[in-house]
Amino acid sequence: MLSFYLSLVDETNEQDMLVQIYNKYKNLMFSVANQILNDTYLAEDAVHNAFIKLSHNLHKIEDVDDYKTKGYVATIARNCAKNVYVKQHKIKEVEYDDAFSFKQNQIQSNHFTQEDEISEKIKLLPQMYFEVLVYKYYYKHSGKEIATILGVSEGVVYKRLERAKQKLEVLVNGQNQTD
Amino acid sequence: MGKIKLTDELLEKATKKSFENWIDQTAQCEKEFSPSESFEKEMNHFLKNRNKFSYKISHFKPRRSIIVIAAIFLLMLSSLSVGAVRDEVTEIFKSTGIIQQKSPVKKKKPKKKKEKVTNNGYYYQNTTSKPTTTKAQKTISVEYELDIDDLGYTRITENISPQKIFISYQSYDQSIIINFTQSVNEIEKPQIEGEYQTINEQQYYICHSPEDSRLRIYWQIGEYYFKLSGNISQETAFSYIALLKERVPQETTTIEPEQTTTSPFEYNYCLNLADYGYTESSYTVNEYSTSTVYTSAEGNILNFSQENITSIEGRVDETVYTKSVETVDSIEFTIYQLTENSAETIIFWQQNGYQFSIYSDGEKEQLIQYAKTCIAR
Repeated sequence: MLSFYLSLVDETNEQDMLVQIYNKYKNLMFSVANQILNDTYLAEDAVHNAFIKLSHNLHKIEDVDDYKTKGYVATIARNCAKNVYVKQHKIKEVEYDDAFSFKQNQIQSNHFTQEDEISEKIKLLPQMYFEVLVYKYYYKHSGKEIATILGVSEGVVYKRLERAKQKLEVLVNGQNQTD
Repeated sequence: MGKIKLTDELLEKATKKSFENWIDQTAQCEKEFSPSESFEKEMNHFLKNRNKFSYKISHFKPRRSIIVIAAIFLLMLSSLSVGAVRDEVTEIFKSTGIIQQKSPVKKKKPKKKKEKVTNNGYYYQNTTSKPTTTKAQKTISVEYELDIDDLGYTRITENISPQKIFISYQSYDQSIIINFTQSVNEIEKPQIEGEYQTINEQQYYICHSPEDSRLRIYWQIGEYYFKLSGNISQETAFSYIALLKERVPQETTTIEPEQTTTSPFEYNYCLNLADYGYTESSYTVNEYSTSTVYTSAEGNILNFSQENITSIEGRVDETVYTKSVETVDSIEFTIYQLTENSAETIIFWQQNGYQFSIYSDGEKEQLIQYAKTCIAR
């Protein structure tokens, strides 16, 4: 009975948004998942899981065509693919081997700012640290929101953020930090 | 170059650069996706029926929520005896927040002597001191459950009795366990400090235990008391509460303890816990595992599972649980405890070609004793 009353609630807009995201980003999401899984059926599973996660977080998406949305769906697809991979292979989270893959950027300019240097080092971080930085500093999500997306407790999120900064500090300034 | 200070501003700019670079590179690798027929079918179904399970309480519109409350109110009214109407109406108004309690937290503080029983880290009131009332005779006429199966959860436990329903859900990656309870009797709250919140005219009591990182939410709708607990955020918990629906008994998977069924295993194992005051309350078999729930006289719940040998690596979040290994009588037990002080413990062990696990509250020594009673049915 309660579900009947709940069905009175109108969420057509969110449903439309989900359909739009599917039509616009399914190729991207599938490609991201398939890069990790190298198996079309498993990649489909990952994309499906990603949409279930997205359906929970639609309120965070303002514009389907926005660049941020593109990144958001790609990371969720990647995260879900990773989970499928872990489940399939029954492995623990791999650290450096699991880093987001970046093509090597050759430094073209002599004007290499601190921002550029940190940006290059961030790319070297393990996936779990890179993603918390992205959710925190790019998407400006709260600890609670990140915890929901990643399916971990809020405490784990803060711990990862702290470790991400520590690792980055070492990558940027070296082990023996001296002024 | 001198030391670079990682300020929030610098991290923000650098993260933006790295991430946008990753998006661009990823987009370059984008290929045309030709989904399989089954995937198309599944996604179409999901996209069309998403409204069935996507509601969030925060999205309730005031006028409609009034309709919901009014409808529930009328339903309850019709089922009440005349003499009880006034009290029940007052209760409903309180539970929906129409009548606010002046000091809800203080009022709810238990004053009776507490007796610790090991059930999900809770402290229950000594039930023997409670007077017997007609309330205890009530039975559940409308059974509820959380409609989160489509969100990647599987049911690992269903313990159904006329007065109480307990369903345990586990996320597909096994990192989240959500327990849902519906009862005709008030569900005792833990001693940890909580707060009352009224959301869309429904009152909830919310406790977040820093000890075990589990959120616990209590609420009442009409004659039923509900509880949801899990290692999830408050926002997620409320989005799941919004998915409350009438329960459809899953007769195909849950069977009576005495019955025997086709087993995916050569032998089905159980724990012989009668001497410890536990009775088997449900026994579920699927093609990958068996799951048995034992309940003590005090209401403590113990989950026992059997599956084919498999690795337990990555199953338990080791940043939250503390892992230890103990060998007792030549059997190696891998033990995960939430914190030193918390009673929540998960124990894995292998025996006779199977992987077993116990998930319950209690000291690890006690649970190992239980584990040692494992026998083939």
